[in-house]
Amino acid sequence: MMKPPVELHRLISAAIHDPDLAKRLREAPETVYAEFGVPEALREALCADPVAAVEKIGVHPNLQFKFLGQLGLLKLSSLTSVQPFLNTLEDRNGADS
Amino acid sequence: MGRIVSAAATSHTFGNDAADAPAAERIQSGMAQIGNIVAKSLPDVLVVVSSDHLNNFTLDAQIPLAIGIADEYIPLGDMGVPKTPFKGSREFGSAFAMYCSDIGFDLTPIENVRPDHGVSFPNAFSNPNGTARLVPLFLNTVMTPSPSCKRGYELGRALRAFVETQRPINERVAVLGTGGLSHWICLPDSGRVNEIWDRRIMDFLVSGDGDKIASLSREEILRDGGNGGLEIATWAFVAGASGDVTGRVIYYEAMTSWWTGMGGVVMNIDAT
Repeated sequence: MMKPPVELHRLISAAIHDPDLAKRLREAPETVYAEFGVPEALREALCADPVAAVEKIGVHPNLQFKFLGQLGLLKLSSLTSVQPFLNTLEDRNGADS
Repeated sequence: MGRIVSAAATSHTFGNDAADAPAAERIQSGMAQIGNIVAKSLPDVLVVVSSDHLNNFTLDAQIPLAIGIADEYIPLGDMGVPKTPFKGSREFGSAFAMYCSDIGFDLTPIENVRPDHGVSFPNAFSNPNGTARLVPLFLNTVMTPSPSCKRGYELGRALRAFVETQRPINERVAVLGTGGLSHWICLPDSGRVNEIWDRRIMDFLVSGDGDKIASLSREEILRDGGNGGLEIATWAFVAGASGDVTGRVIYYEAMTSWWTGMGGVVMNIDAT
């Protein structure tokens, strides 16, 4: 059974809560990969083509989503804030909502 | 004894209206309607059941079932959900965890959680003033092995029994199961929506056939509803918690632009 990319999973999970780390991941990925102990073979693949690499490496789909989002490579174009919708609730449901 | 005063299931993702503005508006209207029904049932406690999306839990320790026991929650803020603190209920969450441990469920009590959109977005449109105390219950279908629909259904039944036999007289509890419907996350089928399957799931729930959702295997769900479709374990929870009453579909849209079949149902429960 293939070992999952646990080091990369930990990196992605950490970057969710650390904007500085997420920024460094975008700007200097090789350095960050090394910090988290991502194996060298994986680092090369990730630097060459992150989109193909995460699939080939077996990154968990939910973490792929976050990783590609962190790198600005996510193809889902419908992302938006829910705040404008929440602001309409009072009008939709009445003043007591 | 307490009462389940309302129960509903809804998708918990969201998107812009660029691809289909009328459909996006119908989804918003449906979510608002569901939220209004839940709010008007005047719950003391709102149990929101969802998978975390690996924002709070990690793959280093794959916790399948967990319950929030904090007295306050601040949303993570993903999808732009306001980071407005909500009251929780340490007492309710802890008591349910204890009850479950006596009947064959091991819920992991968690203190330090910032509920992501799976919990915080439906809470925001169903409990906008924070009147009800929020109790997040995690069926973490992102984990392997993922909690099954059968497990979700039985846990929902456990919540109902807990509320009706262990809780103070007249305590009012609302249940909101969130997630689904069909979606494929970062897979070759991303963007695919299986409307036939989605409507079948909703029909099971509104027909009072919760056991039919409970009987769905992981393999069937992955094949027909995608890895994101595993979230319907929370819909099975709603079936169990509502006592297999019938319900009604509030909204459904096959939103391929959002990568998700979007649906919501409300169970026919008399809140008076």
